[in-house]
Order: sequence, then structure tokens, then C-alpha cells
Amino acid sequence: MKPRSWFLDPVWRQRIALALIFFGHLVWVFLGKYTDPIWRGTVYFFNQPTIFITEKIETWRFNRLQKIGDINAAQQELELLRAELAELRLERQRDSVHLIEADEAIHLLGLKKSLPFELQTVRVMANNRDAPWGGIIIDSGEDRGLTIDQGIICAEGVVGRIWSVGVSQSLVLPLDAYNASTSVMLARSRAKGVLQGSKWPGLAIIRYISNQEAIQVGEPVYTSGLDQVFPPGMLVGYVSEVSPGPLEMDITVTLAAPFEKLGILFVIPASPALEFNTRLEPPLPISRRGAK
Amino acid sequence: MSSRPANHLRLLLIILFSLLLMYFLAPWPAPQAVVHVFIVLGLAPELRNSLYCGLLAASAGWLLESALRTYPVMGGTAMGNMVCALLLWYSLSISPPEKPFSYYTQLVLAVIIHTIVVRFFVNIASGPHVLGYGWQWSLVLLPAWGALTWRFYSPPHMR
Repeated sequence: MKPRSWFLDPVWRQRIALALIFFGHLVWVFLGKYTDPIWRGTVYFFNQPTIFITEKIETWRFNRLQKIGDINAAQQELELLRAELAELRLERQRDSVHLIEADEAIHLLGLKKSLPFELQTVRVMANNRDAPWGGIIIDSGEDRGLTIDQGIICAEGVVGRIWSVGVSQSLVLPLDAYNASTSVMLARSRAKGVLQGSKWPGLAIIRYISNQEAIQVGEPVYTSGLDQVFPPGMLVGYVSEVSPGPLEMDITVTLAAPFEKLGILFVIPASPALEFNTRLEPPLPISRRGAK
Repeated sequence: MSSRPANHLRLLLIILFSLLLMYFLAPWPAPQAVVHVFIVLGLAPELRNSLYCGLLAASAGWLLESALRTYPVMGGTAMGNMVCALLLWYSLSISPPEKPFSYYTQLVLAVIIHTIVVRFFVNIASGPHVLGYGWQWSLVLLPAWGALTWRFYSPPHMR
């Protein structure tokens, strides 16, 4: 009797089926994750005729809508559209000024609400702080009750103080002016010092802070309120450079106020005069009090 | 091929019921893992031949992966299941345990190996994934589901 082929043996057929399933899974487990682009490519390939036909139909429909019978009517419509476009451009030019002012006003309104005292709003007339003995000229003076040494701020931070007052205008000494000085405090280390202007616009230095203090770059700088010009806690700028000097710490501050694009400013009310003499003198002897 | 006797109809019904149960237990991963292990290591090796054993183990793996939304459906579980179920099937065929204790010992080893192998294949198929506590629940509840499969498994002296 001729032996039966191994392929016809049901046991072998089961073994082959099991082996196929097993190795099929094995291949899929190891290579399945790499087949995603192949599947996508295949789907895209078989979608090509549909995409082609759809594009043709859409183009035909668009061209049919665009087709114009009367050339004069089309030219008239074109002229109308051109005129409308020009008008819209002009309107946008007109509105751009108002938009900028509106943005600034929203910014300032938020600041005005957050501060606990009444601020006077002034407008910058000229900004020639780069010139020698220059400064920022504002549109208010004695006519609105401004006095020397009133603080000036903007939405971003402290700007400076009033240097001189005219009848209807005033000159503001900015914080980065070489002869400006303001009492400040560092946010993290709580160290107090005096901010002085530097020779670089937009930068200032802090004096009289000990080398022992731990100052970090990026630390915010606030007004300390000791100079009786600004209330404590107003943002002045951020520390941009720190290095220990021979006697004190060399600290450079990048001022927060954008001095190049100042528009509307606020004037802080003048501080009330002190009712007590802070220069303490030794008390008189008791025996001499009665004689006086 | 070995041909260990089994009550076909009852086993088939339990397999179908367990597969459905495993699918619908997807919101509760711990019980689902126990049912999954029960199918792969308890029921699949009880089938008459290795082809059915491998097919059931693979089906349970694919079903588990498709039942869980965040689990990668790349066949890693099916592959691991097949390897472990066939190994246990072969082990039971060449050295059939005659007492429940030795049977349970084999099942404990099989659960641990199954956890490692499935994790390995899922890692290869679809990248790293979280290993849950299902395998620990399977070990804790082994006396329950192991006793059930012992009833289907007929030791040589009881045939």
C-alpha cells in the first residue's frame, strides 16, 4: 500500500495551521508597527480615482458659477468692488489710531482701578530724554495743580518724577536719567537701595546694597516708599546683571516702563508733609525742663 | 497529538461564557484579568489538540486588547497567550500531574511566566505600557479558578 502524503494527514495539517498562526502572530508583533505607512499608502492609492473625479466635478461647478455672459456688467461690478475696497482700506487707516488708543486705555483703566489713590491722567507731548538735559514733557502743569517731585507711572511700571512745572506743561525726569534717584527694594531678598540712572537708556543701577546679600538675576525691583515720592510696592524693573563690587554689589536693572513708546501717564498725588520731626535729638535734662 | 478527554459541550459553553464575560468586564480590569488568565491557562490547555488551544489563547488575547480602549491592539497579548497556553498544554501532555497540588504549582508558575511573556510581547508590539495588578489577583484567586479547571482536567489515574 502506498503511504499517504504528509500533507493529507490531518495531524500534519493541524500542525501546519498552528505554525502558520503562531509565526503569523510573531511576524505581526515584531513588524506590525512599521506597516502603518504601507496601509495608509495603500488606502491613498485606491482613493486616487475618487479624489480625481471629485476634483474634476468641483472645478466644473466652480467654473460654471464664475462664467459671466455680459462683459460690461462684469466690469461695472469690478469697479464697484474696487471702490468698496479702497473705502475699507481708508477706514482701516482711520480706525488704527483709535484702536491703539483703545488698547492703551484698557490697559491703564485696569491699573487705575487697582491703585488705592486718585491718579491724574496726563499725555506725553514730547519725549526727548535722549538729548542732554532732556526729559519727557507732559501736557499738565500748575493749571492742574502739579508740583515738583510728584511720581509718574504708566501701566507697565514707574516712569520717573516731575522735575519742573510750567504753567500748562511739566518736565518729567525719567528713572534712567543720570541724575535720577529713587528708593527701591528687591522682591526676594528684601534688600533696600537707591536706584540711579545709568548711561544706557532703559537701564539703571542700584547702589548701597551689601555684597552679603543674595541677589538673583530676574528678581523684580519695587519702590520701597522711603523717598516719599512713590508708594511702596510699585514695579520698577527686573535685575538683569549682578556682580560683587569692591564695596557694594553692582546691580543693573532693566526698567519695566517702555520709555520709547510712552503715551498716556498717571501722576501720583503728592505725599502729605510729615507731622513729626524724624531727626531725633537727645532729650533735655529734667532739671532744665522746668527752667525752659 | 495528545488526546486528553474532556466534556466537550460543557467546556465549549464555559469557554463562550468566559469570553463574553471577559469582554464585558472591561470597566473592571482586575476581574477581567482573572477571567483572561482563567481562559488562557485554565481552559485552553484542556482542549483536545494544540491548534484549538492556540486559537483560543490567541482569540482571548485579541478580545482583551479590543475590549480596552487605552490598550494597544497590536497582538502582543495574543502572542504571549499562545506561547504560554501551548507551553502549559505541552507540559500537561508530557507530565500530567496526578494531584491537585502539583497541578496548582504548575498553574502558579504558568501565571508568572504568562505575565512576563505577555508584557514582553506587548512591549515589542506597541511600546512600553503599564503593568496592572491583574496578575496578582489571578494568583490570589487561583484556588477558585484552579479548582474549576481541575474538574475539567482529568488526571491519568482518574480517566
